Amino acid sequence: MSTTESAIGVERSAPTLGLRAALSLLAHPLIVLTLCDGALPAAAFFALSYLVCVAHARLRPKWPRASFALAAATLTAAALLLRDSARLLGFADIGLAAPSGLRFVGLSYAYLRAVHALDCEKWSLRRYLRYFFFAPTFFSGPILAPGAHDTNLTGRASSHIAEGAARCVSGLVRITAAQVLLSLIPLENRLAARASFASWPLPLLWLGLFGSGIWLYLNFSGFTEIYIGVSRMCGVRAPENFDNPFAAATITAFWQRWHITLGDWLRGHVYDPVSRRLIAAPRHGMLVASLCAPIVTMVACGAWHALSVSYVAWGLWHGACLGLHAAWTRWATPRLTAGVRGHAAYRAAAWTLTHAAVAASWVLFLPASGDIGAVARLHMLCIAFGSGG
Amino acid sequence: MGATVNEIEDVRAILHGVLGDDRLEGVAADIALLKSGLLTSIELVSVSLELERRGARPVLGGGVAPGAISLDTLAAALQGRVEARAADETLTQTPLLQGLRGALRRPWLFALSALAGLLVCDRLVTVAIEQHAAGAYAAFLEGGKRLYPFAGGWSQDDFRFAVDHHAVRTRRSPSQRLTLFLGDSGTIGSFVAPDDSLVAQMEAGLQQRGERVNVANLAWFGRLTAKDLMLLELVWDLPFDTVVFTLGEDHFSRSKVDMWLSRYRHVSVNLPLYEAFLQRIPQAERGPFQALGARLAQTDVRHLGPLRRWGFAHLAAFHYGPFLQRVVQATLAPEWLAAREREAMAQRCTTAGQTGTLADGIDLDDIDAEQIAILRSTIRLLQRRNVRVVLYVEPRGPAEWLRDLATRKQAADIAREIGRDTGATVVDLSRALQGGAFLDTTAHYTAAANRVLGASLASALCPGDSP
Repeated sequence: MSTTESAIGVERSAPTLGLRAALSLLAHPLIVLTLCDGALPAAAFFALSYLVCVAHARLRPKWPRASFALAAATLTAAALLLRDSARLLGFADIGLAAPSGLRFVGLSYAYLRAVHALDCEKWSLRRYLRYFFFAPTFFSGPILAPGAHDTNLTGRASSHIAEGAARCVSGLVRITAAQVLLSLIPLENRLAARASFASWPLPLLWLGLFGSGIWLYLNFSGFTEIYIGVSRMCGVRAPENFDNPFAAATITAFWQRWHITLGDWLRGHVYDPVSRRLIAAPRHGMLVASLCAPIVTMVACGAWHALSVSYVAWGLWHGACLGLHAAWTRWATPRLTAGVRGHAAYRAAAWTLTHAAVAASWVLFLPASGDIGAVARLHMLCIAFGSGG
Repeated sequence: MGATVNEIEDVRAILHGVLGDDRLEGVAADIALLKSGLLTSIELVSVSLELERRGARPVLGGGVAPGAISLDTLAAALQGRVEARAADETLTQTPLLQGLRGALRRPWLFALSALAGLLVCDRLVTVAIEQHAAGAYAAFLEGGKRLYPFAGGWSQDDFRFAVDHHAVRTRRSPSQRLTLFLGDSGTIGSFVAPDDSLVAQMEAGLQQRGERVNVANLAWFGRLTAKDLMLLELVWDLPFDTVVFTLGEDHFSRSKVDMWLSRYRHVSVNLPLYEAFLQRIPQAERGPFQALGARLAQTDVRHLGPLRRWGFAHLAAFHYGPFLQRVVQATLAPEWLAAREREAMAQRCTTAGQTGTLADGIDLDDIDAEQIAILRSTIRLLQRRNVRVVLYVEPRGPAEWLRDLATRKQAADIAREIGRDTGATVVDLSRALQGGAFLDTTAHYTAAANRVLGASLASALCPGDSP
């Protein structure tokens, strides 16, 4: 179903309206971006994405696929140009690309929302402005689809504020816990990683890598809780972004519980179209799709984080793991008896293997160094049992 | 509207055909198929294609999150119904959230209670540390030999608080002459014991030469002259007779100064000290100081300086946070989990046996004339007090890595020019160390390297009195 202007219309109570207005004024992303020299690229990307949405809405009735492809390609090229080009080409001081964490993150998420917006049939400038710059979720997940943004919460405003505040407090608790964990983990930065790999015993190193994932989860989900809480106070139900990912016993289940809205976006815009094409291949379509579609999707996911060898390698790793799991589920699992599949040892082994694979991947993801040679050596050291420590 | 039993059975039959097995037999209609691991993503695509071939509307989209797809939603798609599911409320029903939600029915009361609780905790921490754990805190600060323990991770940001706990304030011998040594993370002796820092080694070298001198290690991480002036302001009342400034290329590079200003909040949070120091400079020479002050003030806004200064002024947690963090992570944590940064750091000499290249010097158009003018004025101010000024040019990296570029100017050249104009002593040790003398980066030195640097400095300060 496409979301249209008519979806807005539920009466919003005065307190949430007031809160949203105050937030829009005081914490408007453009104000925050101005403080970190990122307002110009954000405004440029906003203008371009609005024009692309309008053009796509006009062209879609005649050429739906070509129009979507052209619009998505334009947005991707613009986001890459604004976010990565200066860094990759080595001129970091042109003003458009001064490295600033907030700006990078903001632009990356703005890109996802802009592609989501292509699913809508009609945008007014005012509605697109509100959707694009919705303050609570501008800089990070959850990634709001237009439908979720337009669907206002009904009921008493005080209950939304209480629920939102509860989410914010829960988020603060998680962030505090993450801060406590921060200096215990080996992947806080490249230097810490190098120090840990040089001196930690192997079992502790694996525990540290797992702890790094816990830290990232607490930190990211903590902020997400706050964003969801503030959204709720503003009368918008932002989707959940995490669902206890460390309970997942397979890599596929992990990605359905971790950064859920990004996973859904990737599924809708990369995985689904790619796998449909591959399945249709005349020979071994299913096998090729099982192995290749996750790799393409996760490489795109890595490149979305940043266009660097490290992130792309991280995406390849996860894509390969997902492909292997899909193949295992299709061809090996049915050959196992129900007794084996349900046995506690089988489940424990699945859980351990899943989280070892995830933990190992943080070596590529968290230091985010670009020093791929050093990181790869560390990675090899970690994975090769017995050679570390 | 939920699907009927017949609709569910139809979908089950289709899935059986696509998947080739009976794994969905007996599975409840509302079970999320992907999340429970019953279907993989590629299987969902196959199922979607088969359903669409039979006239169903697209399974994905229409408000159904992929994680929520069940037999129910597939049956709805097959029948052409749109069955958008609300956001998964079960995710929000944790006991913690339910309790919080209950407490937040009276939000003002909750906020006030939380605030009061935090303030009481803060006061209790103050009383506990200052009255019952003062010894432990002094031990944490290594007896006040440095402004913070061995790595920047354990530093709080308030210079005044740090200086008040430094030996220069708490147990200075009045019979000894006092030398102040200002500098960065290399000078302070990051990751080595306080007696292995180059400052302590210089003091030992001077004392071996018969000098009755105490050298105060007033270094703090970051290569900024502004930070040194803030620390100088705090000890201006002390009877020091020598000041050593640590200098490197970053001190004279406009881009690097901007980088340090934006990166480190301890510089902007102590802005009032800079403004106080400015008052000591003659009116005619204040221009460059005011220009740098404007850059600092701009950074202060970005770093929420006023808010953080309020925190430092009123809350103990701001000052004692690193101590408490260290108690948890290094003292209370079991041995196998405890933070071991000094030991870990001692095991790694990243430059040993490695090859690398460092372009020595600063681009001519990047030289920050403000910084040079500020340093000259400060030296003249100190000399009016009869204080000897030493400009120590710190090691840039392993000497064999350095590569001269004719188009760039080196920190040692600038220091020598300043020395010629002002009479300050210049000690150039920028190429004094080889590979293997550095720890995690080329900014931090091993204990052995600090001994070399300390001895060189002592010998430069007392050239005729070798021990």
